[in-house]
Amino acid sequence: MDTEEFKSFYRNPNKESEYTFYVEGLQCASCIHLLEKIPEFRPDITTVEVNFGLSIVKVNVTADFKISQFLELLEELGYKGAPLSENENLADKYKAENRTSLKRIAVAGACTGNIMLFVVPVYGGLTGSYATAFNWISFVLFLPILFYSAIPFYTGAWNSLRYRVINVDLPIVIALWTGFIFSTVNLVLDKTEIYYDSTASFLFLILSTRFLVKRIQQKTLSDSSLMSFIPVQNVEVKTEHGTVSKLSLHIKVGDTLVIQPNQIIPADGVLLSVSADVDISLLNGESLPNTLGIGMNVHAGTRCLNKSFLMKVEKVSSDTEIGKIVSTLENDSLKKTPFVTFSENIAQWLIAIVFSLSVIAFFVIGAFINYDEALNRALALIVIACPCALAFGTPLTYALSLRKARDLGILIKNGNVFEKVIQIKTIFFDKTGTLTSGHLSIVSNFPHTIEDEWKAIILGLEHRSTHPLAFAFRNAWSNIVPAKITNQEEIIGKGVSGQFNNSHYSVESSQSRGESGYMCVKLKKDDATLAYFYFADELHPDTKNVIKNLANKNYEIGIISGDKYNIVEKIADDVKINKDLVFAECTPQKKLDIIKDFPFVCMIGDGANDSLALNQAHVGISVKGSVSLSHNSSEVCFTRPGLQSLVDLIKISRRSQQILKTNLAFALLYNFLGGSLALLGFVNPLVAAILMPISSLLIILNTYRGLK
Amino acid sequence: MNIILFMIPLALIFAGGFVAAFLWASSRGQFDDLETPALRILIEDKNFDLNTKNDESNEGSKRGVT
Repeated sequence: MDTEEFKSFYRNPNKESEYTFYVEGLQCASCIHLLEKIPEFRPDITTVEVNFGLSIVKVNVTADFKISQFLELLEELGYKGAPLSENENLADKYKAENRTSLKRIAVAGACTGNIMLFVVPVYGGLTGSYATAFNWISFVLFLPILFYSAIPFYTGAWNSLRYRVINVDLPIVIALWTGFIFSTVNLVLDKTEIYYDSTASFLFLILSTRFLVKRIQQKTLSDSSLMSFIPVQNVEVKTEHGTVSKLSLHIKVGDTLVIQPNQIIPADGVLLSVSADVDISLLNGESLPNTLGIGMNVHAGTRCLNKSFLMKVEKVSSDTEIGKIVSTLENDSLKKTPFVTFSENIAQWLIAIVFSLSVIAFFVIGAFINYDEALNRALALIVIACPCALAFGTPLTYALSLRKARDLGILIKNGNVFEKVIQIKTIFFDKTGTLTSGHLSIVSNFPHTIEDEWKAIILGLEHRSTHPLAFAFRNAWSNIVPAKITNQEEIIGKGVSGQFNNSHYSVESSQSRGESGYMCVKLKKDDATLAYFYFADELHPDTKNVIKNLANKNYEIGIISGDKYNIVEKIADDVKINKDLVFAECTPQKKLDIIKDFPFVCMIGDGANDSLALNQAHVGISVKGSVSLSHNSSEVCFTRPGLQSLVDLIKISRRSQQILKTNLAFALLYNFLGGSLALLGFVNPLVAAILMPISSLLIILNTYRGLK
Repeated sequence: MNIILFMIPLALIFAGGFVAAFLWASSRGQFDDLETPALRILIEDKNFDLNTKNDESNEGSKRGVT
């Protein structure tokens, strides 16, 4: 991890001595203090700077800095760290963008405030040359808003015209410019219909709420991009001159790799060692490890379990199985039709209605009264009827809901997920890691009671093993001291054996696996079998409750898993899931095909094998411990273990949709009244200046109250 | 009322000055991170017994994590 190659990959591009780390476990002020004190006792680190909100630490170092040592130090202090490369470092990516947004808001805020100051005396009855002068000052103060603060809306409106999708930016720009031109014409003609103040405050509010939404989304994104599917790592490559270490990005076809226990395999290839145990749950959801023999295929993204082995690389990066999934994913997400939300629909209608109304009004009023008055009223209608609720009621609701979800451990990438969640009819779960914890545990044994001595022997035999079964034994009997075993041996694919008190003991897998959906191992003494142990992937403690809860809410519930049929069926029985919707032994492509057959389906999963399905589903959710592929292909990530978050998500979605609708109803009513008044000629700048902020204020209050 | 001819430009210059100050601070990174400094104020900066405090906060964070 400390080769020059590795370091240069993570070095900050514009500062040689700086590295960025993502640090998990920051809780409070003392954590910041602790981390920032590091330079005092570590000579190789000059400064440490913590960004608490994004959980990011920036470190300035001297030449003999070692990444591995720093990560060890973090671990000692109780945190988990990971270096961030240039592309992963979202904080820096968004920095420039955030600063510009903030500047635009500041300019808009300052100008709006000052315009209001100068308009108050005019409303108070000031007339004559002072009033004209004040209005001209307002005009000047409006220019920075028009030509600086509003720039993002112009790009948005331009895109909306170019791609022929109506978005809310277009009416905002139209209202802004109508308000400006209308007011300026009246200012020049020395009339009183001047709307600089209402238009400016409207724009300021929209800019601020949008910034709020953006900040919350950025935070969410930086969290969810944490775990890498195939981490950039150093790999031992065997050459004629011994082994050299290489960055996994630079492995070539034909290289011979030495894979260490617990390492994620970086490429597809064939096994050169006699045998190997590989955890493939990430790739296909199978809960039990696979034992591979010489000459068999090894896949990138799977994990070496207990013994290091040699492999010959045959395919790298995008040619690997997992690489193919990634590229399908990228193509699919481009093909996916954009989801049009309810408020976008309303926005389109509203724009159409307001504009046709104002054109009609112009001619009708023109015919009956005069065209001068007609123009006044038609333009007043456009300014007044600008969709407030759509322009900032919706983003504000999204922002607050996103924050609330975040507090409950639900990371959401896009606000319109809430609306999609409401439409869900069917929910599919992946099994391993989603319904279950992904760890094996002992469910039963024969004979029913096991002597402590046998337990000690088993623990002794499994002492060094990293096989999932070894963990299951250790968890079950954590209070037993392992026995001292001599001649200990691990035979890959078979089990472990050793000597104790002059007898030969072994723990071996038993063939009875598969009948009951359990995995079985036996303890043998010399040639006699002493006991059988049955294992299963245990359910999360809250899975049953959540499934029951969802079933009561009339959702169709199913399982799609890559695991063996009898194991999946056993789980389906346990949590009472309808057999019609249980699919087992599915490849990633098969999962995708199943999802395609159901409308409004929600998929919840964690593995790379789920990623195609997650991407296709109406709502894709990845759970804690997921690999980055499923994170990237899903819109929602649960950061807490278990499925309770799903119930929370449904609750928040319903609440936010309700608020969205009350806001919309209120705004439509308000716009209707304001529009009618404008058409009848009752609206003057004072009325607009009172009406518009009040409607905004009510919408803000309603949103806050609803999401408290 | 002549005073107004002096006061209004003055007010506008003031306003402009504050906007300029904000823009300057913003481009220097003053508002990049709004959460950490708020917590940093709780840290004592002098005569801090590093070792004992380290252990405490370390344990605290470990407790929090698990």
